[in-house]
Amino acid sequence: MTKVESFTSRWALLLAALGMAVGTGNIWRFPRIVANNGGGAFLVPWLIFLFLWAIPLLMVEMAMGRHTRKGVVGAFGRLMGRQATWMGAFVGWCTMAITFYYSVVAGWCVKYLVASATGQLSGVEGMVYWEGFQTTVWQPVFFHVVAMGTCALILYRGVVGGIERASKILIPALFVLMMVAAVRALTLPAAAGADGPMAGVEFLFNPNWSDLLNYEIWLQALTQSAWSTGAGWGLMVTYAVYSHKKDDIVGTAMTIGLGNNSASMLAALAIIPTVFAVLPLAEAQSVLRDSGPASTGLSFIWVPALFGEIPGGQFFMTLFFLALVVAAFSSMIAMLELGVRIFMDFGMTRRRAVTSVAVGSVVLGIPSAINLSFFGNQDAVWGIGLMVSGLFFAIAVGKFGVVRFREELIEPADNDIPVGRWFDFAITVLVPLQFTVLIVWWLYQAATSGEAWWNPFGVFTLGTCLFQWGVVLLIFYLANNRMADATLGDDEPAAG
Amino acid sequence: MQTTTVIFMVLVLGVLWGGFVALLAHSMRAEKRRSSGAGGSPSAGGNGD
Repeated sequence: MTKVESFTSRWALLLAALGMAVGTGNIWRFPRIVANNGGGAFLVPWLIFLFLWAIPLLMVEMAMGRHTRKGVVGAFGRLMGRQATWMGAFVGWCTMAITFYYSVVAGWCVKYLVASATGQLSGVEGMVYWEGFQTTVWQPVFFHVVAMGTCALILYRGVVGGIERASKILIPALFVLMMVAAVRALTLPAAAGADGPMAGVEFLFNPNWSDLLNYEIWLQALTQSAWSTGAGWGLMVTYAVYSHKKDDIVGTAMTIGLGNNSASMLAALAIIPTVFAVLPLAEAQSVLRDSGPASTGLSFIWVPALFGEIPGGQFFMTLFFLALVVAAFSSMIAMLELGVRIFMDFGMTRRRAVTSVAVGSVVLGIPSAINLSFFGNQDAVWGIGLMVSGLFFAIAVGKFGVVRFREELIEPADNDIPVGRWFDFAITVLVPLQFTVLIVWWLYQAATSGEAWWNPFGVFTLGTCLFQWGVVLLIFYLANNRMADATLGDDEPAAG
Repeated sequence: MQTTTVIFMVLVLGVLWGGFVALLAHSMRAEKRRSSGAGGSPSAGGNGD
């Protein structure tokens, strides 16, 4: 059997995992979501769900990866029995399908980094520049390939020479960039007619407690928590394959969760005060609410305009897009490695696995690069599909036996923070409950989006979610035995 | 800025940033202990493939 690679230290695992968790969603989605959902009050459920959804699932993933030493396909097969391999394949597919268009987004970030550094964004109207970029068609595809190629080059170098080395540079750099941006935002002078950056801080942290009676705020907070930390994506399973036997599971999961949310707050402090420093109150609130095409409004359309108004704007705009690029790449590395790990478990060498995953992801990402409606469709279908992934992890633990899982897979690690029975309750009751509420709500959104709910080819319909999930689930279910043979060989399943 | 806003901000950032920094510092100390501890744990890192 080929020796499995490993990180050189717990610190290396932590940095890589933080890179996995902190991505473009922290920087461009969180500020918009918190601004649209009551500001301060939103932060309460957002923090609660960090502990009720994200951290328990991160613990499950880390224990599964470390115990089985298999990527997500083999991990499910080894933990639940060969007949459950298809579940791991669905989890892996959801994340890979997101990777296909995430690379497109990373490409946009690279494009805007270059444009800001070379002064192309100075004095241009945000929407005009954005549309000019998108309508060339070749540019989004080109930058998508650049992003994918860069990450593939890192992965060719392996766990230590590639992932670990990149993480040790990217993650500290990312936090420094965001701290610089936040400090700059908070010290900006108020433009004529604007209220100043402290009005943005007030907007972000003023707790209007009656907002907590609005169920939508709780659902948005849970959604953001589910999407932002990478919990339930299979990414932590992948990195845990490279962890040491005694690496602290509880502490690692908590560090990743708190680190991810800390990064989100830094991003919010960098963006929201800037908006309020430049624009009058009503306009500032409107800008924060405008999601733009493919959720691009704030980052790609408004940031150039806003930063153009502040002292040293080009420099700080370049810093902002550099932070976006770093965040995007650190997450993409993890997402691609998930696919690479699966292919390596199937018997491929790293070189061949990376080439296969990268080329396949480039090709399958091109439709999202050239058509924003398709991009939006994939974002909706597989973003909601991730909630099914989270449920699959809870089912895996339930099948294995939650008490047995905690006692045999989590507690033997060198956990500095003990794991109590709250974990059992969180995985067997809270995660399925949260999943049920989320999936019903999001599918209801899809069913009432304005398009014919049944349309399997709609942009955001119930029909398209069920159709695409159904096709993928059927394929993997039919291929279950082949995948089990390929990834597990003659292994005895460690079934519950 | 309102007093409640300031208090709330301190609480939220305290939990997040305070917790994150504390856990990071703890990880660093644990790593130092492990690498200089009894027997010196084998830092087995490598590219197996």
